[in-house]
Amino acid sequence: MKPIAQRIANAVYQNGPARILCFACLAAQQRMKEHDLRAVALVLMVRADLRVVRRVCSSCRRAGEVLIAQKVA
Amino acid sequence: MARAAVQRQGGDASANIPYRRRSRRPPVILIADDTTDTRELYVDHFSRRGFAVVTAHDGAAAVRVALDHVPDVIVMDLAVPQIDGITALRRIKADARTARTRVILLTGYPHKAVERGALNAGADRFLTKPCLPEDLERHVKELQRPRRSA
Repeated sequence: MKPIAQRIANAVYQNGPARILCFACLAAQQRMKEHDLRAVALVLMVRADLRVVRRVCSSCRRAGEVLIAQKVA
Repeated sequence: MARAAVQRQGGDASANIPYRRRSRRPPVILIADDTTDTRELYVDHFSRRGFAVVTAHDGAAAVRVALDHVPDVIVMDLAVPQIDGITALRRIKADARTARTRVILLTGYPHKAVERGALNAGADRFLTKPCLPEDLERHVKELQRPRRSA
């Protein structure tokens, strides 16, 4: 897995179930474009234990797609 | 410079697809996305599933590859470099060879795609990124079904 994908996976695991971020907020946290984050997310869904679900973002409080660890889902 | 890779079921990168034997050839899918990982994941998946896969990493290459290979289905990222996905889509639909080719537009922002006129440009489906290969395959197979003539 590329460093950027590993970094995003680490961020998702470190944020944990108590702090679930939507794509826009996670991209802002990681200082990257949402478009790039969504591309990395595909790799993480296929090669790591992450998935995309609809949840309320812990940061902006809006309902939307979030990237979470499989066991949190 | 734009590149296009052709991969058959066995992964023969130099294979060319004979247009005249279209009825016997495996279904051809064009993956147009500027992200290498995304292209590789989809190429790997669709090659294993019996598709002939051609790729393009920008909009101009997507148009060129589409006209060269006349794919059955095109999976186009909305935000590809050079010319965007919608402009590329318009050019593909404007050519008689590819006017009936089915197109799936992949985007992280479906509402923006609609605002930019993707529906009028001729997109058959919008899918939100990230889209798992098996989900994408389901949509591709649905679009492969013969459509009723108007």
